[in-house]
Amino acid sequence: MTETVSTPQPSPGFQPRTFRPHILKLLFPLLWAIIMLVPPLMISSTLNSMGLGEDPIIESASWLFGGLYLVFVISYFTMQVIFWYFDAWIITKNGLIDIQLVSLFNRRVAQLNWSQVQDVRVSIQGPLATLFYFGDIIVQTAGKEGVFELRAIPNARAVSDLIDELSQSAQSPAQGGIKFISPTQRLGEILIQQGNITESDLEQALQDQRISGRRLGQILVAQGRISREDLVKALSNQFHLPYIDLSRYDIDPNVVKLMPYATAVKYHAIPIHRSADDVLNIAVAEPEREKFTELMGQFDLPLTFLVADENYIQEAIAGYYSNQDHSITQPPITPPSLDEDTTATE
Amino acid sequence: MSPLTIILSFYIPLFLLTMVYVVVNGFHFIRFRLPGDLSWLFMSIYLLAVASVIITSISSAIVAYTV
Repeated sequence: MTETVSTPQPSPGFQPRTFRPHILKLLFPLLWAIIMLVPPLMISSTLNSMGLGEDPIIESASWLFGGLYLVFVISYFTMQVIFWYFDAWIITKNGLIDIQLVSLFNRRVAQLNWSQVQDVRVSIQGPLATLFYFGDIIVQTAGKEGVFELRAIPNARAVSDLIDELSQSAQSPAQGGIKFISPTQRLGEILIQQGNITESDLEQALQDQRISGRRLGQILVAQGRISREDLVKALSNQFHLPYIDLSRYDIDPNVVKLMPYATAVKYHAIPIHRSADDVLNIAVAEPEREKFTELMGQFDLPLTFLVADENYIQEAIAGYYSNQDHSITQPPITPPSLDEDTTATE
Repeated sequence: MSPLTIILSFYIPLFLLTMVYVVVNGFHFIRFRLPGDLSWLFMSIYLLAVASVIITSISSAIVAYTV
């Protein structure tokens, strides 16, 4: 049995709401259970027509095995009810909890913070869904989970609006000009707190930093003490910005065009999404106040920033700008190297 | 070997297998319930239905065999 449970603390004033698939999702299992009852009824009818139904042995066997079969059918339908009932999505003020019963004895619980929401779509397909007004809600996120899908949700559009509203309010501090929260902790402290490194690892890395002048995060990655993902998470934590796994994110090519190639290369940044209210989300590898201020000066749109892996940003720049005209080219993008001085310092 | 012995030799293993299924379902209701949900209600209805069917079928089989 595998299970990972994480429960965010709901903020006061907002009652968490639980959503489950529409009850009509049980219609087909119910029909199937009814169909399963047909064969024994036919057998019983045949036995009666052959005059064997009066035989005490056959009659008692019919009762015993018929009863057992009925218990099996009830249990089958109950199992479908379990799969239906334990697929639940809980909306709290802080985020969305996705609880899925993947298979028997295997439940998966994932959590999404509203600040990670990139896009919300509603899909109402089929006559039943249209008639009874339920649908799928697809939440595109900047997190590792990628996409959250809320299936067959009653009144899907209203729920989608609620998710949109909560995610907008979570991201609103960055709209119309970012409110940069200065780091209150050093990167090394965060990595120790996260359990990625020990104090002696940090001391050794700091010693290397004094000699080489490279950034701490890159030294630790190069030494194999932390993964690139650990570094991104730590930077996200340090700068109070959401992180995004670009390897799982489908960047809109039209949004990429909003940033010139030279700017993308200079700042190690790439636009990934433009929200409905015209906020441009930019993935950066090196969160720094000066960088944000300079980028804001180059766009008419309000910006939000997310931390992403340097390598993925480089790959995205190489991939998305390869077909675009960037005649005023900057030096070509070199493959990311762990020896480069690219990460925010302690 | 009497007909009843043959019936029971098939019935008892099948009964035990079905009971395993029932226990697995009951386990899911207990283990995966969420605070304030209706798991207990569903499980009660389910177990009541299963118990009624089993009691009815066994008692009817006994009546059919003996009367």
